[in-house]
Amino acid sequence: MIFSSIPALFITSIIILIFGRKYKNIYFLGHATAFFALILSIFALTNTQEIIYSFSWINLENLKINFGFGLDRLSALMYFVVALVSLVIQIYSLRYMQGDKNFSRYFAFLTFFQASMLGLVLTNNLLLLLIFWELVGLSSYLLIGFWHHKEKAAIASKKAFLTTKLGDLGLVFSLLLIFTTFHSFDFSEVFNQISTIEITILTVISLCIAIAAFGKSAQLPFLTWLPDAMAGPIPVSALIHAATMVAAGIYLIARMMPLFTEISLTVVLIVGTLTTLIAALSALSQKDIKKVLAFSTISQLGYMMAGLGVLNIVGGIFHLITHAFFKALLFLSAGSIIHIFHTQNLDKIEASKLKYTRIMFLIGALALAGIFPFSGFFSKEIILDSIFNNKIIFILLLFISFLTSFYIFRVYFKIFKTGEEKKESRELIYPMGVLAFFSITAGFIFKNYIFQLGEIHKTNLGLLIFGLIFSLSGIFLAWLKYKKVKFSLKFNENLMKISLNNFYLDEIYNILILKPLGFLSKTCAFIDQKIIDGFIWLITKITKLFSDLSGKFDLSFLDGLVNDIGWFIKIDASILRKIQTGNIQTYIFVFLIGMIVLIFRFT
Amino acid sequence: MTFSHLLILSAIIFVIGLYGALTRKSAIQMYMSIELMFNAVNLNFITFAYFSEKINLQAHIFVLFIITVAAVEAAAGLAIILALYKHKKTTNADKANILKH
Repeated sequence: MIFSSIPALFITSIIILIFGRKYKNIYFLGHATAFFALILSIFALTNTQEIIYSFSWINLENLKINFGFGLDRLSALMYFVVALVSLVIQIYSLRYMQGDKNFSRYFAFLTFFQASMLGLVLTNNLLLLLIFWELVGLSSYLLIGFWHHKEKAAIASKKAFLTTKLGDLGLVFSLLLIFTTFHSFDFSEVFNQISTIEITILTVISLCIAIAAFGKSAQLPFLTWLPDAMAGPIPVSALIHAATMVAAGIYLIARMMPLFTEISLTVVLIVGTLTTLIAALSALSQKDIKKVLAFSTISQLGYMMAGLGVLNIVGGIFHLITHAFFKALLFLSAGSIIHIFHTQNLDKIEASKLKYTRIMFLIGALALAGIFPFSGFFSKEIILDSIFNNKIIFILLLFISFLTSFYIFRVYFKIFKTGEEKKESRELIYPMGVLAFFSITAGFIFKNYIFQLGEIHKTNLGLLIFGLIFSLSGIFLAWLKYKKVKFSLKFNENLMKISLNNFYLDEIYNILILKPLGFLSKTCAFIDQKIIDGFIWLITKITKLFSDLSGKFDLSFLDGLVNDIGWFIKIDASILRKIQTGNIQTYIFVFLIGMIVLIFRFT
Repeated sequence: MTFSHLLILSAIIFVIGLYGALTRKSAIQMYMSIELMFNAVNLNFITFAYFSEKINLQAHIFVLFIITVAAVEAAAGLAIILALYKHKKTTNADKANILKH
C-alpha cells in the first residue's frame, strides 16, 4: 500500500516517544521509516494512474462521510518532496542535535510532523485534511518550543500556534460551507459539482480557504509568526518553515484551485505580491541569519501565491518544490555556520573560509536568486511568464527578484570572507549535498513531470534573459557594497529601521489587537472578580447579617423568655416555700383553719 | 349544770388546749396541751350522752377508745420527744426545723 508510510510514521513517532528514554538508539527506527516513506514516494512518482483508497466513516441515511487517501500527480510530487527533505533533515539532525538531552523527544516530534505532513498532502478528503492541518500546526508548536526552557522559544511557539489557528478558522468555515453546499467532503465529488453552484458561494468558500493558507504560509495578515519561529532548532526551521509546513498553504490553494473565482484569485495575487514586497524589504537589513532566511521564505511563498493567483498551478508548485530544496539547503548551511560559531548575528561571525559550507550556501543562494542553470531559475521564470499580462505586478516581482539576490548575497559576502580555516562537521555536509544536488538539477528532472499538472504559456526567451538581468544585478550590487570597500552606498537611516523591524508589523499588531484584547480580558477579569464575586460576597454578608440577628433574637428574646419564666417560678417558690416552716405548730394551726372552713362549709 | 354550760366548758378547754398547742415552745408543754384537747373532746361526748333521753352507750365506748388511743399516743409521742432530745439536745419545738426550706 503506497499510503502505508503515514500510519507507519505515526506509530514510529509514538514508539520513539515512549521508549526513547530507555533505548537511546531507537531513533534509527525513525530513519528507517522515513527511508521507507522515500522509497514509497519514488514508487508514487513513477506511478501513472491514480490510486484512491477510501473507507466509509459515517454512513447514515442522509449523511455520508468517507475518509481516504488519493494519489495523483500533485500528491505524488508533494509526497516525494516531503519524504526526501524529511529524511535529509533527520540525518542532519543526528549530528546537529547530538548531545541534546531530549534527543528522542526531538525525533519523535520530527517523525510525527512528517506523518502529519504526508497525511495532509495525500488525503483526498477535506475533513481529513483539516485534521492533518491541525496536527501539522501542533507539530510545529512542539518543535519550535522544543527548547522550552528558553523563554523566547516558548513565546514564539505559542505565537505561531495562535496565529495559524486564526487562519484555521477560515478552513473550518470553508469546511462547513462546502459540506452544506456540496454535501460531501471528497475532492472528486466537490469538483464534479462546481459548475452547478453559483459564484458568490464559491468566492466565499475560496476566500476562507485562502485565509487558512495565508495563516499557515505566513502571508500578509499573519506574517509575524515566522520570523519569531526561528527560535527553534535549525533543522526544525529548515524542515517546517522552509520546505514543508509553510508549503501546506500553497498546496491547499493549488488543490482547491477549481473552487477559486475571479475575486478570490485576485485577492490571492495581491496578498502574495504585497507579502513578497514587504518580506523582501524587511530581509534587507536583518542582522540575524535565520531571520534573513525566514523573511526570504515569506517572500518566496508570496511569489508562489502570486503564481497561483494567475491560475498558474505549474509555476506555483514548481517553485514550491525548488524552494523546498534550496531553502532547506540554505538553512542547513546556516546551521553549520551556527554550529561552528555559536552565534547567529551576521556582524559577529568572524571572517573564515569554510570550504564546503561555503559551496553549499553558494549553491542555495544562486538557486534562490534564480540564476541559470539552478532550479530556482526555471520556477521563477514560469511564474514571471504568467504574470506578464499584469504589468504592475510584473514589474514589482522583477524588483523583488533583484532584492532577493541582493539580500542573500549580502549574507554570503558578509560571512564568507577569506581568512582562517575552521573545522567543519562532515556529517552535516553530506545531507546538504543531497539537497544541493536537487537544487541544481530539480529544474531538469521535474520539468516534464510538472508540466503535466496544467498548462503554461510558451516561454519567451527575451523574458528569461530580462529576469536574469535583474537577478544578476542584485548580486552585483551586493558584491559592490560588501566586498569592494571603496564603494559605499548609504541607505536612509529611517528606511533601514523600518526594514529591520519588519515594518513594525509586530508593534502594529500589538497596538491594534493585543492591547485591546488585553484590555478586554482585564475588564472581564475585573468584572468577574469585583462584580460577580462582589455580588457573592454581598450575599454572604446578608446571610451573615440574618444569622446574626437570628442569633441575637434567639439569645436575647427566647433565652430571656425562658430565664424570665425561671425567675418567675423562683420568686413564686421563694414566697411559697415559706409555708414549709418545719415548725409543727404552724402545721397544726393551718390544719385547724382548714377544719373550721370545712365545718362551716358543710353545715 | 345545764347542757349548754358543759358544751361551752368543753369548748373553752379545747380552745385553751389549742392555744397551748400552737404557742408553747417546749415539746412536752405542747403535748400536754394536746392531752387537754383530748379531755375536752371526751367531756363533750359524755355531755351529749348524759343529756339524751334514750339510753345510749355509744358515746361511752367512744370515750374509752379515745382514752386508750391517748395513752398509746402518749407512749409514741414521748418516744419521739426523747429521740428529738437525743438529736437536738433541746426540747424546743422550734428547733425541729429540718423540713424547713
